[in-house]
Order: sequence, then structure tokens, then C-alpha cells
Amino acid sequence: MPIFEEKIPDKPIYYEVRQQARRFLSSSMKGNQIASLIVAVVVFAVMAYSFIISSKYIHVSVPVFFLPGLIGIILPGVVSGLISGEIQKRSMESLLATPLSTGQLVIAKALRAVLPVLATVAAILSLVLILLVGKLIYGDDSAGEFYSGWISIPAGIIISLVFAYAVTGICLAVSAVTRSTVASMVTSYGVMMLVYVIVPSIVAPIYVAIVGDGTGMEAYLAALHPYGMVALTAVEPLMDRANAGLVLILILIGLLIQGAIGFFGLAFAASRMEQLKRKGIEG
Amino acid sequence: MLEVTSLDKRYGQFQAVNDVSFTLEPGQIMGFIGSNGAGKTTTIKMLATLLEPTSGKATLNGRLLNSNDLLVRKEIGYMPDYFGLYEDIKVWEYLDMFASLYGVPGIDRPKVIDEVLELTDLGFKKNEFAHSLSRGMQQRLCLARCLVHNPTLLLLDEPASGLDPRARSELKDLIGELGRMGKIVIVSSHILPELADFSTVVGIIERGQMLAFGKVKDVVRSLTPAKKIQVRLLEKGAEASMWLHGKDHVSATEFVNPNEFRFDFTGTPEDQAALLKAMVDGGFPVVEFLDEEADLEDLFMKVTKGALN
Repeated sequence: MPIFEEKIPDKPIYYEVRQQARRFLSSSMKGNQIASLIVAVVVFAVMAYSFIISSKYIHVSVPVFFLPGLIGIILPGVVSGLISGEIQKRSMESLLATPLSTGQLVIAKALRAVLPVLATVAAILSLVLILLVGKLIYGDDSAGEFYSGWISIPAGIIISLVFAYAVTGICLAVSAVTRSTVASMVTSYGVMMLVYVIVPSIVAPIYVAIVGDGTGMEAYLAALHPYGMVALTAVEPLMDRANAGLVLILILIGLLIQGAIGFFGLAFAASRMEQLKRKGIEG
Repeated sequence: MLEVTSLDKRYGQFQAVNDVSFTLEPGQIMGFIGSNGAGKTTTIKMLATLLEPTSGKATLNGRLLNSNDLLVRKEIGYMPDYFGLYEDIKVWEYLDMFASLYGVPGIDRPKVIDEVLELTDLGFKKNEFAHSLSRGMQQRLCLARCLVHNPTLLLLDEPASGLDPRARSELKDLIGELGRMGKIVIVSSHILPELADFSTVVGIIERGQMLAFGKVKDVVRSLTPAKKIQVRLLEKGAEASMWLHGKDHVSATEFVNPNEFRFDFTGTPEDQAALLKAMVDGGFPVVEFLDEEADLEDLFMKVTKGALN
């Protein structure tokens, strides 16, 4: 057996995702996991029922509007405890002592978000399918506010995936500086509230007061917010007042900003872990 | 071969580890002894590349132990003094995860896991959840985890803390076995008799300074130039003590009971034989004339006393 294999293992970063999937498929879940699965199924059934009976008046892209909100609620619960939890359980030291670099460790932790996000996207897509089935039964009368175009469904999903990346970055960054899972979760929700709710709700009225309402300029501001981006791809009046090409560029810039938030979050978490590794977890 | 050269660690004004140097050959088991806060854990963490030394260095087979070199960690098995297990992971999954983290190829992993489980006597718990194991078993699982990548250097920080006597004795056997497998093992503890049995080398650390290092017997000899001899007589204990008082190499007599006392003796074994002969010829009814081996406990108390005062 060679003493030093000059190759850093890259597969372990998928370990978490693989284990998660295996546990789910082999149905060796714990009580609370089964309970949350039942709750999710019930909520989904209620939503599906209300969608199918109102399908005549709702455009097929409407479920996509739930996606950023669902991701914003679900992801911090999954991701925010991943680093602080290891420190709290004191299992971090064993991990830091392995040949895995801190960057790989943070990416492995971030991959934990993949399955919940994919499950959420799948649920939303099946709601779209349910709406289509409803329209086959009850007919379609949903013209008006929304584009009849289908582009908003893939666009909304792509925007939501980038948003999920940003949320993962924020949560892991918070997780790397807090010392317990609960503190990390509360702080993650707080930071997200600040970035995505409080700051926009302060900036938007000021913007409207200065630039004025109904000028079409609000589209450009909306492009910076994940929900605004989704709205721009789907809502007719908002899009009509702006130059479509310019809005597309703005959405791309908005996506870059979200991507940057995610990247800096992960980089911050990695640098913080590097610090823990060099100075010791207690010190 | 592990070479540690004047390792230093300073936290602000506080000198946690001060100029620690030693060398260990493959197969040697070093008992690392020191009271709480003496610098054992800091030294071990520096060797595990989890803490950067302020100055000094350590090399393993010529390769520098440093936190920038991720691959050197494949040669180190580190067992922290306190560790957490994941809640929803089975014993074999836990080992599988660490084997993959240390780069053991997937095809070899099942065999490696079976081997380390057999070595640590945990084979029958393979499919149990890790957190459901008893404390002793968790300790053994952690040791198994340190062994999955077949490291050359094992750093065990207080592996026996919180174990019952039986688990402790099993752990001792296991560590002895690892030494025979040619690994360099460093075991720290503040419970001394626990290390005396299987350590080939002992290092005593106090206030960050290595006070003594070497083979157990050598350390004992170098630190206790005078050995204790215990004498038991049928009668005339007090007179025998008086008689001994003026003899060469003899000092500090202390009575255990009227006919039994010990004294410090600095002479050679020949002197010792001559002294016994003289005593018997002098008409003292000697029943016992024993060398008292200084044990690690005494030694530790003796060595650290100087530093603490």
C-alpha cells in the first residue's frame, strides 16, 4: 500500500447527499422525519385540491411563485446547523483532522441543500401538472395579469435555484460563526429577513418617493430581488412598462448578485473553518 | 520516525508548551503524562496539525507535520479527548465515511472496516447506531475510526477517561497490540498506573515543559538515584536502624512498624549484598530485604513537585 497517495479525495463531498438519499430510499427514517413527511404530504394535498378546483382562473406559472418563499423557509432549517452543530457536538475536530480541505468541507455541507431544493422544485412542478389537469377538466379562463407564455416556469425555477444558493451561503456563513444550532437557525432567519424583507421594504418606498410611481422604473429595482425577478418573467403589467431587453440584463445582474451572496457566504464559512483549524476550536 | 524539535505554543502571555523535544521510533508507545492543563492536549493537537506551533517543528519520517500539508494527515490517526458521534449513523457508516475522507478506495473499504472492527472487538455492533453504543464501545469506535487509513502515527488523547476498569484493561491490550504492529503511539493521560504497563517510553510534562523523557526504567533511575530498600526483622528493629545509620550509602530511615522500616540506598548491587551480609552477621534476624521499585505515581509526584513550587 503506497504511503502517500498524492491525490486529495474528492468523492467524500458527495457523502452527505448519498447518505441522505440512501436513508430516504431504504425508509430507515426516524420518527420526526416521518412526521414532517406526513405534514408535507398533507399540505401538498390541500394545495393540490385548492389548485385543481380553482384551475380555471389561475395561470399555470402561478405555483412557481411559491418556490422562492418555500426555499427561504425550508433551507435555513436544513443548512444553518451544519457547521455550528458539528462544533456543538464536538465532532468537528475529527473532521478537521482529515485530509479534506476546508473548501471541500464547506462544499460538502452546501450539497446537503441539494435534495431538499430538488424535492421542493419537484413538488412545485407537480402542482403545475395538477393545474394543467384541472384546465383540461374545467377549461381555461386565466388570461389577464399573467403572460400566457411558458417561459416563466423554467425562468422561475432557475431564479429559485440561484436564490437557494444564496440562502445556503448565508446560512453556512452564519453557521460558521455561531456555536449552537438554535442560535445559528435564529440568526440565519434574521439575516435573511434583513436582506430580503426589511432592506427592500425600506428601499422601495424611498425609491418610489424619489423616482415616482407608474414610471416603469420600478421594474429595474424589482430585478434585484428574487421575487421581483420571478414577477418580471411572469407579470404582464410590470414587464409592459419596461424595455424587455434591459429587464433581461437586469435579471442577469440580479442573478449575479445572488450568486455573489452565495459565493461570499461559502468563502466566508471556509475561511472561518480554516481559522478554526489553525488556531484550534477552543482558542 | 517521529522527531519533535523545540515545539513552542504561546497564547498571548501564556506559554502553553515550552521547548518540547523528543524522538520516537516505530513500535514505541509513549505515555504522555501530565496534570490537567500541563500542555498534553496542546502538544498532541500540534502533532495532529490542528494547531500551529508558535515555533519549533515536528517531522514524521522526514515529512513536516504542518496544517498546510493536507496529505500528511493520512499518516496520522488522531483521537480527541472528547468527541461527538453523529446521531443517525450506523457504526459501519461512520467508519465508511472516515475511510472515504482519508482516501481509502471504495473497493477496499468493506474489508478495512471489517478488519478494524475485529481489532477493536466491535464486529457484533456493525449495524447498530453509533450513538446507541456504551461509552467504552464509543471510545473503541473512535479508535477504530483512527485506524481505518492505517496511519503510522497514532495520537490518543486521554483514551481511557470515563471507562470502567474492564474497558480500560481491554483498551490497554489494544494499544499494546498497536505498538506491536509497528505504529508510533502517543497516549496521554493523567492517570499514571494506566500507562506504566504498556508504555515503552514515558514523557512527563508540567507547565508546558518536558521534565523527563525516556524508557520507563531509565526515567525512574535518572530521577531517583537513591532506591528504597524495605527491611523486615523478627525483632530488634530499632537497634538495626541505629546500626544502619552510620553505614555508607544509607540515609533517611523511616519506620513502617517497630520491626519494619525502609531506607534510601545509593550504592551498587554489590554494596547492597555486602550490607545484607553485614546485617545478618551482626546478628539481626532479617526476614525481608526488598528493593522497592519506584512507580510512576511516585515519580510523577516527585518530578512535578519541583515545578509547582
